[in-house]
Amino acid sequence: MSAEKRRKIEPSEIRPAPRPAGLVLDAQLHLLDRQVLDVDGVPVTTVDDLELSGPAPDEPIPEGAAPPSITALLTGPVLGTRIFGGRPPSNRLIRIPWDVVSGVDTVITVGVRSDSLEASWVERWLRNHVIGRIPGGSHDPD
Amino acid sequence: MSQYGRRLATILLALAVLAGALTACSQRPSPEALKGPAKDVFSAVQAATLAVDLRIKNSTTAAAGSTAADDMLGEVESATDEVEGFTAPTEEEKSLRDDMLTSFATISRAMLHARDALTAPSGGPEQGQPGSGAHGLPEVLGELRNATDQLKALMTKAGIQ
Amino acid sequence: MKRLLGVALGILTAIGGFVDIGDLVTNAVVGSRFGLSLAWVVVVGVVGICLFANMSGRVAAVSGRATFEVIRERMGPRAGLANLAASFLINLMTVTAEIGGIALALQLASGVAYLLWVPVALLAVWLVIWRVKFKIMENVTGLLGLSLIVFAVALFLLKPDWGVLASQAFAPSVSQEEGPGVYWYFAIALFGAAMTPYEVFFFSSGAVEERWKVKDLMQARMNVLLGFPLGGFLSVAIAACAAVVLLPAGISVTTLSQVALPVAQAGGQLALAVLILGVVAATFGAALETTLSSGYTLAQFFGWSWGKFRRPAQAARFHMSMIVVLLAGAAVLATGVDPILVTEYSVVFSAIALPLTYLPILIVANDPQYMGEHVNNRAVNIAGLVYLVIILAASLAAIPLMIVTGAGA
Repeated sequence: MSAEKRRKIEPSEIRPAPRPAGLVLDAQLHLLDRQVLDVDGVPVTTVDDLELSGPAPDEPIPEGAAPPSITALLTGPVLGTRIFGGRPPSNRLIRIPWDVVSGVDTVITVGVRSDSLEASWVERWLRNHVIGRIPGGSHDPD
Repeated sequence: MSQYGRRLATILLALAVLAGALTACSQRPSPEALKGPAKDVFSAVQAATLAVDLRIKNSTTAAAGSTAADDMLGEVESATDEVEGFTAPTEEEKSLRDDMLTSFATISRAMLHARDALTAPSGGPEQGQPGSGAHGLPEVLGELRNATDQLKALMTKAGIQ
Repeated sequence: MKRLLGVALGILTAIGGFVDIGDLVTNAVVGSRFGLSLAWVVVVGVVGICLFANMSGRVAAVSGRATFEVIRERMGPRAGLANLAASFLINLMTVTAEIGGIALALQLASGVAYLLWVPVALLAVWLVIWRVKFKIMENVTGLLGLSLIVFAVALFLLKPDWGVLASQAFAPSVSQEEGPGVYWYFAIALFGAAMTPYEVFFFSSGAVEERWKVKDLMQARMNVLLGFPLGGFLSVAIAACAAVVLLPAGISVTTLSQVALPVAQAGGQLALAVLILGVVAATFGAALETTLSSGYTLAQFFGWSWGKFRRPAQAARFHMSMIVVLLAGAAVLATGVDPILVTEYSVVFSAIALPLTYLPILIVANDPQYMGEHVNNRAVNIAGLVYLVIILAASLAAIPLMIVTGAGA
């Protein structure tokens, strides 16, 4: 038995752990449903879902496996499966690879032009085949 | 059949009978039912009268006046269709419905004349053209006013007001 | 001097832009059947739209984001999608009604059948959206829409019994003939016509189009606070003209040609011409706004590039969706349905969808992450909550009343 009485330690006295380097993100709050802008500030799409690497939900996790990381932002019809359930097959997913993301703020910026992304294919298709063909489509409004 | 099935069948049968009864009975020409179409026609003929009156005073254009007359003619037509759809088993109801339809027909005729007269240019149409002579604007105005009085008398008699 | 001109322009544009086919028809119908006993609803509606337009403009100016973008972010995709579906369908109804209105006004001017004007109206609306700059579009339609002041002028020329009008307005009562069910049904319709949801989406997207900053807020506030009430005054003038000429004659308004009769009686062919100009301008402007609104809501929800400041090739999905909306509206009109009927339903359905469109704005305007120090103050929040209750009451009562009264027959 110790001679001096132990003072009860208050929760506020416990020193917090050192902050890890980098940005802490909440996927739901900061990534999902955010607008994606390209390097010129042109809107690309909204983030409808996220793709994570790593084992699938019901599989057992092997020993020493790396933690899941974000591989891509997803957009397009995957919104329907996000709201109503289910998952489209992998080759149907429209991805924006995570390594082109250059900033996360109230909007997510990517470091490349919108036209080079797979995600803008509807925009490009409409531009080339419909809107671009109507006279005046490529002019600034007057 | 189980007890549940029997109950369900009874309910469905009752609903079918009810649905059949409701669809078989179309409207009877009571004052309540006639109120809607009668008021619509009254409103339409008043509007047409106003349009003709304004045209006589040269306050409105031929285009606006004839558009109004055309629209009002359409109103009377749809009210006529509605009343024609009423079934009238008793003599009294039959005579009321027929009186109403006669009144509507008179009004329709007057409105046709009004539309023709309104379509004419403001100098008046040439003799022999529709909207001239006995069917000129002032005459049409009189025709519309007579038809309106007829309808009003009928409505009072039928107890619609 | 230039600044004063800019301010005046903004206010005048707001007045002229306030009245659309929904206001025109609903106020005329109400005036011809109820006199001015529903004028108080216009006042309530105008205060409401001032409040919410102000809020949505502030959100856009401070955060640089338009309302619908923020709705999805803050409330999630499910709520956003529900909101989008409701707003989009109602926008579609309203676009249909407005294009019908343009065609009806052109028929009134020319005597040529209304259906023949529908493709003309459609093409004209699309061309302006395709090529004309935002600011020019706003200013021209707004200023020409001011011609609707002819209703106020006509009212004076008619030399009405002001006492009777005043007693109808300030001591409203339900007449024997019409009954309370129809009275409240039309109150909801009038409310929906005044607090048009598309106005708010258009206003906030317009703020982003014109790149408003915080310093523009004062100007925007004045436009709204002066312009909309004067627009409301015009609405009441429309009702009053109908009340003075049509109500005593027993004419209940069902067509646009009837709405023109009091004005023709008061001021002859000149007044009629001014009226037609005003109706064409107001409905044309409203058709532009609602079509753009459909484009804005879709583009902002799905994250497409949008805006009239971009060339169409840079906002392909945005323009494509608007073309589809216009074609759908024209297709509905081509079936021969009466555009006045579409208008009457569109205002009631607008009232039903109001909670879905206004609640998110109230939430976002209070969010410090987007608004910083410009969040709603207490007074605005209290007013906003009061209006939310009113909006909910109107929304819930609309469908039962519609069924009971047979849509106001």
